[in-house]
Amino acid sequence: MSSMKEKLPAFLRKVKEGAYTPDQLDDIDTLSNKIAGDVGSTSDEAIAMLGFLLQNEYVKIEPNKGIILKEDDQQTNKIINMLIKS
Amino acid sequence: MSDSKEESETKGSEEKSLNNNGSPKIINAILQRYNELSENQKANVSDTFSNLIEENKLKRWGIRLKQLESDQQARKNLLKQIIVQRERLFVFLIILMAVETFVLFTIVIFASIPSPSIRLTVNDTTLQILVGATIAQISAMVIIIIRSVFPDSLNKIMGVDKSPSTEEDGV
Repeated sequence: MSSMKEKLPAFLRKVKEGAYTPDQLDDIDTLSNKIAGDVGSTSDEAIAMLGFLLQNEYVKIEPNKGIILKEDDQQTNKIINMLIKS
Repeated sequence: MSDSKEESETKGSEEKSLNNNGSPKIINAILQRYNELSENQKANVSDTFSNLIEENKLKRWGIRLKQLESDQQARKNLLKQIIVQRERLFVFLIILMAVETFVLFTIVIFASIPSPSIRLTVNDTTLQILVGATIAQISAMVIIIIRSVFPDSLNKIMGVDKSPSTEEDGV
């Protein structure tokens, strides 16, 4: 993967697949390395993506589910699906 | 002193509950690490996010535009087919009416010949009907020819201003 343009949708796809389970949320470094490995980014890029999506409420972290897409809002849902398909 | 002790105990228990919970602790850690990143790194993600949304919107508009173009092309083809069919119908009608007129005209001519040996014998009423029918047939043929050559001529004569292009454009 070369650019953020490909990494961001790939990360969202992984989140949708439920790749980040609660047991992976204990340590931030493990989590960022896992994301980086999944989408082919650096650890900082992984944090940047996750931080951005968390801050703008596109994804949320639930203790019993892990990282999940925030699909309660129709508009957000539409944007996420649009990005996942891109 | 006792208040501050209670407060620190409460804080401690909150922190502990957060730690046991797992998620809130990592959210804070992620957001903290995110805020520590350089502005460039943050901007890279947010710009990419916005660009992807814009690109997708443009893609959707592109697809919609292509659909509209193909619809328009299909409509044009249909219109062409209708025009061709209409022309064929007019040609068929003109040929049919020409044959009918020729037959009627021949009968009238043969019925009007002065020499009784070769004259077609018909009574006066029949002859009048035949002449009337021939005239009507010729008039109808002339109208159909005019209509096929100048499609809007009758509308103009009748004062009907019908311009389909402006109606279609919604002007």
